Amino acid sequence: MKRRFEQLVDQHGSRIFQLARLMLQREDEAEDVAQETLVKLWRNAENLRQGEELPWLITCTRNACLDILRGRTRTRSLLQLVVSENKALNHADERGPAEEMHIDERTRSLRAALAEMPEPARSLLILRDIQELDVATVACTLELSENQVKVYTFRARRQLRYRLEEESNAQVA
Amino acid sequence: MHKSHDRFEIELEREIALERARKAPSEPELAADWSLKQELRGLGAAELPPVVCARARRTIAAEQRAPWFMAVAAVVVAAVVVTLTLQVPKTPRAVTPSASDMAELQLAFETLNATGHRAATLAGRELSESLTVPDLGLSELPYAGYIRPYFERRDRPNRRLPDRS
Repeated sequence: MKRRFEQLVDQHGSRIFQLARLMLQREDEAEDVAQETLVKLWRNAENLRQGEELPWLITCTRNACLDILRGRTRTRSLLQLVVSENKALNHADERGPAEEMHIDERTRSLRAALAEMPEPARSLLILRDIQELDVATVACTLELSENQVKVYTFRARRQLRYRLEEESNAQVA
Repeated sequence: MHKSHDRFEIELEREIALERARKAPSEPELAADWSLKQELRGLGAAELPPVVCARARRTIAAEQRAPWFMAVAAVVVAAVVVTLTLQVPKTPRAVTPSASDMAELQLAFETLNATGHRAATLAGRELSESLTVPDLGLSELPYAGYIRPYFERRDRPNRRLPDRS
C-alpha cells in the first residue's frame, strides 16, 4: 500500500498542487490543500480502484479549494484583504530579481482573471487547457458528459478572453 | 430549444477544431481562442514542494502510531493512579477540636450527668416502696445468714427473708 501511495504521489502530486495554486492564488493555502489531499489519499488508497485515482484526487482537491473560496467570500473583510495583500507583497520580496523578471504582467493578469472565473468554468480551463487532462477524466471528475466538457470549456475560454480584453481596453483608456 | 441545440453543436465543432489545430485557425475569433489556449498551456507546471510531502508523511505516521501511543498513555496513567492510591496513608486524619468545641462538649456531658443522677434518685425514691425482693430461696443454701446481707437494700428498712427454720 505504501508503494502504491508513493507512486500516486509521484504521478499526480504536482498536478493537485498546481490545481490548488491556480484556484486559490495563495501558495500557503495550496500547500495545505495538497497536504490534506495526500493524507486523504493514504486513508482511502485501499478503496480506490485502478484508474479511479486521478479523478478522485482532482475531486478531493477541488472540493477543498471550493470550501476555502466559500469561506473567503463569507469572511472577507478589509483587515483580511490588507493581510493577504501584505503577504503577497512579502512573497514577491522573497523572490529574486531574476525570477521576478520572468513573471510578466500578462501571466499575472491571466492567473488573476482565471481565479475570478466562476465554477465550473475555472476548473475546466485548469484541467483541460493548463493541465491538459483527457476529456473522459474531466467529465468523470465534474460529472458532465464528454461533449459538455468540450462545449463548456470552449465557452469558459471565450469568457476568459473577453474579460482579459476588457481589462486591457480599460487600461489603455 | 432547437436554437440552443444548434449553438451547442456549433461550439462543439469549434472546440474539436481547436483541439486538432496545430497552428492558429484562419478565422480571427477562433484564432484568438487558439492563442489563449496556447497561453494557458504555458502557464507553467508547479512542482509539489517536498515540504508538503514531508508534512503529509508525518501526519500519516502520527496517525499510524496513534493507537500505540494511546495504549501506552493509558497504561502510564493507570500505573500512576494505582501508585498514588497505594501511597495514601490508611490512618484517619487527626481531629483537633477548638477550645470552644471542647467547652461545649464538657457542658453537654455535665448536663447529661446531672440530669441522669436526678432522674435515677427520683425514680428510686418513687419505686422503692413498691418493689418486693424476690424470694431467691437463699434459706435453702448452707450458711444463708452470711449471704443474706449482700441482697438486702440499705436505703430501706430491713425486711428479713423468711427464715425457714
